[in-house]
Amino acid sequence: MPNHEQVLSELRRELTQKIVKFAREGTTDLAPGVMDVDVSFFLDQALFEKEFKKLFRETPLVVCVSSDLPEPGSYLLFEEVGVPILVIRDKDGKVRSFLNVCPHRGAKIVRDACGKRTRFTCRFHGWTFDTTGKAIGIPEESQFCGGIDDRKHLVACPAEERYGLVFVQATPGSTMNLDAHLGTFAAQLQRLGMGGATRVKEDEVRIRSNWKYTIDTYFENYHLPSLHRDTFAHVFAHNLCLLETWGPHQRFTFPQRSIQEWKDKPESEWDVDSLPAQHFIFPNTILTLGSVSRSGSLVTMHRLFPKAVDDMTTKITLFSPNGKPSSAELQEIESNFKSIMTAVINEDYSVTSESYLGLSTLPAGTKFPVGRQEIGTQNFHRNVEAAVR
Amino acid sequence: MNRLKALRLDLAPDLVEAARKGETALSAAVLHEHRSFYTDGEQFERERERLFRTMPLVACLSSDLPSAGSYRTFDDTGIPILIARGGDGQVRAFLNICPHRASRLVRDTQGQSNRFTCRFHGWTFDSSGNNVGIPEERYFCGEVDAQKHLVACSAEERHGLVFVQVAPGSKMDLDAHLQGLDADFAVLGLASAEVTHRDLLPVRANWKYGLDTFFETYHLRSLHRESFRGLFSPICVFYTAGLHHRYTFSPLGIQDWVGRARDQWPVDSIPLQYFLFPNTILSVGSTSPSGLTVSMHQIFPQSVDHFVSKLSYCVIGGVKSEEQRAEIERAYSVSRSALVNEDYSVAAEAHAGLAALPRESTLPIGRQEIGVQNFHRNLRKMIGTA
Repeated sequence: MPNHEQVLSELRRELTQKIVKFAREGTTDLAPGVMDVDVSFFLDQALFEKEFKKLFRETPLVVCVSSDLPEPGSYLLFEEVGVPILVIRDKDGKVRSFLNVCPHRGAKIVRDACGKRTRFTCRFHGWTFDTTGKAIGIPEESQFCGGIDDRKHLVACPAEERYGLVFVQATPGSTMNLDAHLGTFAAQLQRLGMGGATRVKEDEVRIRSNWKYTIDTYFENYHLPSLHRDTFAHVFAHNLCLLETWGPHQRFTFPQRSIQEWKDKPESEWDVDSLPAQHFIFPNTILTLGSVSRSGSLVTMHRLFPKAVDDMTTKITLFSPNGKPSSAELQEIESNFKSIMTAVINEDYSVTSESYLGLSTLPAGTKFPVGRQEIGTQNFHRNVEAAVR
Repeated sequence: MNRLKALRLDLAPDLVEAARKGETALSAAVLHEHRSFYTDGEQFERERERLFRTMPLVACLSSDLPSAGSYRTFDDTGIPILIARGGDGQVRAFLNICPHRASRLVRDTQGQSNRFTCRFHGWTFDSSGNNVGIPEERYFCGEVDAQKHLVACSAEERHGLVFVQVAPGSKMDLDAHLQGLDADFAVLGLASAEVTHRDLLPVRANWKYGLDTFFETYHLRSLHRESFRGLFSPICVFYTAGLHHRYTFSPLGIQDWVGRARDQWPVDSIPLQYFLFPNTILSVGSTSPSGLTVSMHQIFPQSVDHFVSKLSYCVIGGVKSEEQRAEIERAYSVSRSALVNEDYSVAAEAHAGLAALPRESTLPIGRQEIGVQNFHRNLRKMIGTA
C-alpha cells in the first residue's frame, strides 16, 4: 500500500498534468457564460433562514478531525451552529454526538470545551450519563416513579467519522446520509489522508459580512494580482487554474508561478510536490493542501459559520500530516500560519466586511456579474440555490 | 418570646418529624412540563399582562419610603410608576407621566419632596397626584381641569411591604391576594427592616426558569455543593397558601433535635422561605444564625428570554451590633455568589439548551420538586391555560 506522501504525490502529478496542458494551450478553466447575482443573495433575511436550516442544521458538517478525539472518552463541544452539541468518542471507539442539554431541566451538562471523561454529570441536580448518552445515575430516581424511563437519556444527533474527519448533523433525530452527501468526492477526501492529521494551530476570525460573500473569495483567483498584490500574487500563477466538481463539492487547483517554466520541460523535471490543491466540502469547509508551505503536506482547514445574515465567523485550523511536528517544522508552520492569517485578515476579510456595508445601500435589484473565470463562485451559488429551493 | 420565634416554634414539629423520617415534601406525581413553557412568546405576553400588570406586586419595602415626602420610582414591569408617601403618611402610586405631553415626570430613582415638577413645561404636582401649578394655565381655557392630575394606580402598604398594581384603573384586592400568608407576614416584622445591600442582576433566561430554582431543594447537593450544601439538608416542609407558598428548610443537624424537648430546639436557625405569587421570594434567616436576616428576591421579566433579579438584603429590627453586620455581610456574599455563579448561571446556559431540544420535548419535574409543580399549575390557572 502506498504511503501518505506517495498518495499525495500521485494526486499532485495528475493535477499538474492537467494544468501544464492548460498552460501549454494558453487556457484555464472557465464557465460557459457570465452569471448575474442579485445583491439580495447576500442580504435577504428569509433566504438566510432557509439556508441556515437546510445547510447548517440538515447537512453533515465537519466538526473536528479524528485526532481531536484521540481516545475512548475524548470529547469536545461544537456550538458553532447555535445548537449546543457534545461530540464524544465512546468506550468502543465510536464517535457519537448529543445535545449538550440535560433531559431533566435543560441545563448545560459539559461546560469545558474539550477533555476526556467516561461519565458526564450535570451540575444542576447531578444526573449522570455515560459515553453512549445513557443515564446511569439519577439522584432520588424513585421520586420520578418510572415516568422518565424513556426520556432520561441524552438526545442524539447523527455523527460519523470518515477519512479522518468527524461529521455531525446538528438536528437531533434526523438521518444523516453521509455517503449520499459526499458522493464520489469521498474518494478525493480519502486521498488527503486526514486520518493522520494532527491539529497544530487554530484561530478564529469574526466579521460583519454575509458568509456566502466571504466564502466566494475562496473560489476564484481573479482577485489574486490585485487584492493579493503584496502577498500571494508573487507566489501563484495568474489566470491559470483547474476547477473540478463532484456534486456540490469542488477542488480548486491554483499552481505556483514556476509552472510556466515547466510547460517546456519533460514531466520528470516537474516539482509537483509544491502544488496546492483546495478541497471544498459543501457547504462550508475548505481543506487546502500545502498552499503556502514548502513541506507540501500541511493542510489548512477553513470552516465558515454564519451567525446572522450579516455576521459570521471562520475557524482556521492548521494540521501537520504525521503526528506532532519537530521544532524546525513547527517554526515553518508558525510562519506559514502567520502569513495565511495576515492575508486573510488584511486582504480577503477586510474587503468582504467593507463591501458588505456597501451592499445594503445599493438599489434593490442591483446585480453583480460573476465572470467566466470565477467558475468556482458560479458553481457555489448554483449549488446553494439548488439546496434551498 | 417574640412572635417570629413563636411562628418558628409552631412550624418546627413538622420539620423535625420530616427529618426523623428522612422524608421531604412530595407531590402526588411527576409533572412533564413542555419546553415551550419557557420559550413561548405568546404565553409570555399573557403572563406579562395578567401577572405583572393586574396583580398586586411588591414594589418596595415600607422602609424604602421612610417619611412623609419620600418617593421612589418603580420601572421594573415596563410601566413607569412613581410611589410617594404623602404628608398624611399614606403611600400612593401614579404613572410617572406628565398628563400634558407624557414626558417622564420624576427622573431620579428616589428622594424626598412634596412637589414634583415636570422639566418639559413645568407642570407641578403634589404627593397626592393633584396638579398644583400649570404655567399659563389660562391658555388651556379651562379644558384641562379634568385631565391635569396624575393618573393613579392602586397602592397599599401591608406588614412592611408596599404593594402596587401597575395597570391604572385596575382595582387591587390585597386582602384576597394575601389570604393564607397574612398571619405569617403580620409577625415577620418587616416594617422594622433595615436594608443593608441591594443589587440588580440581569439574566438571559426565562423568568420562570429563574424562579423555579428557588422552589426545589433537589439541586442542593449537586449545584450548591460548595455553597448552601454545608448549611441545610434538602429535607423541607411545604405549605401552600393560595397562589403563594411557604417552605421550611432543615438546618444541618436537625436530626439531633429528635427526642429533645421542644423548648430546647434552636428554632431561630430554621430558614423560612415565602413565595408571594407571581415574582417575590422572602427568605427569612436562611443563611444567618440569628434568623433575623431577610433576603428579598424579585424577578421581573423583560422579554421571554431575559429577566432582571432584584435583591434586597435586610435585618429585621435593624442592625444592632457589629456582629450582626458581619453576619449579614457573610449571608449576602454567600447567597449572591450562589445565585450568580450557580442558579442563574445554570438558567442562562439552559435557556440556549431548551431551544435546541426537539419541539415536542418535555422536562420531568419530580415529586420532590413540589414547589416547581405548584408554581407551574398556579401560573397556568392564572393565565388561563390550565
